[in-house]
Amino acid sequence: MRTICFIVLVCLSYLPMQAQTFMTRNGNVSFFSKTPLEDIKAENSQAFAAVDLTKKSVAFTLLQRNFLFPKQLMQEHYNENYVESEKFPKAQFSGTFTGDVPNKPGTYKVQVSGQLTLHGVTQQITVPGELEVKDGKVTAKSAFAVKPSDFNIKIPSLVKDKIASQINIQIVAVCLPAK
Amino acid sequence: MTRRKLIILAGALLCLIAAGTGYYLYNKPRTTAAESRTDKHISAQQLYEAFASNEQQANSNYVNKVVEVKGTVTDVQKTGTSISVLLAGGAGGVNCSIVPGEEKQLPKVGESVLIKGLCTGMLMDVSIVDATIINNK
Repeated sequence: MRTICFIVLVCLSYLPMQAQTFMTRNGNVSFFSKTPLEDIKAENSQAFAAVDLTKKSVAFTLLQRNFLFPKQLMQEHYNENYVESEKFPKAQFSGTFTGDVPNKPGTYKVQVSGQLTLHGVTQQITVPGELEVKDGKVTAKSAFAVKPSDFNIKIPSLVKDKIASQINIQIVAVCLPAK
Repeated sequence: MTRRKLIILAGALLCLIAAGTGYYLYNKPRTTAAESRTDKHISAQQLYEAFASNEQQANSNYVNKVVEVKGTVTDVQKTGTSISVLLAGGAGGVNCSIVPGEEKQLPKVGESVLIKGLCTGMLMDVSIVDATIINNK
């Protein structure tokens, strides 16, 4: 797992010109499921993220067990029954973004396309994003929705009404220049 | 009271207890690492080396366990409401996500600290979440 992260970082940082790779080990990824019966929210504040402004590439990886839920039972069901954290401990995304994002202060809207791997299933996704360059940092933000069924995550019929068919995901990663 | 009425009453009482227990368990807040019994005491360096040398073995030994980790602080990051303390672990580190409310006793870079939290595995570093600072002496 560490090797994969290391390779991603090395690939992103290998540049012939001025390095424009930014990374964090503390990206914030949260998800939200809203139904009339119950709202479910979980947060993960240890996503590893790397953004390369020159290559226009973005990579994320996180441990499923780092998502913390307010209720004990939700935490257990998520890890044991839905994403099966022991079998598929991490989720990852790697892709590219459209549009020019210079290493100059500003907020830039982008479209990000790439492969999202979750629960052992890889899907091509295209989502809107925002890259903010400020104080030498790059903040990557995105909000999008995924369907658990697209990633072969089975929700038992007993709790089907309590879990939304589309889960909203929010990402905020404040990345510093890679050393 | 007849025998039949007694049985009905006992049955109703049992159903009520079962429903109440179910409701309680369903809504029970997540047990935090701070209020859980510590499973393992280890240094940050030993913990990192355990994962770096044999991740599979380390996963079964430490993942989903409450650990108390002692180490030297190499970085403290505050992003929004998230606070992370990175402990030196040799070639890598141990990344601890600190729970809100610990801001006042955050250690400084170079200090030795004892942190209690839930070990969740390894990405670039070993991950500890739901962490609290036991002492920073």
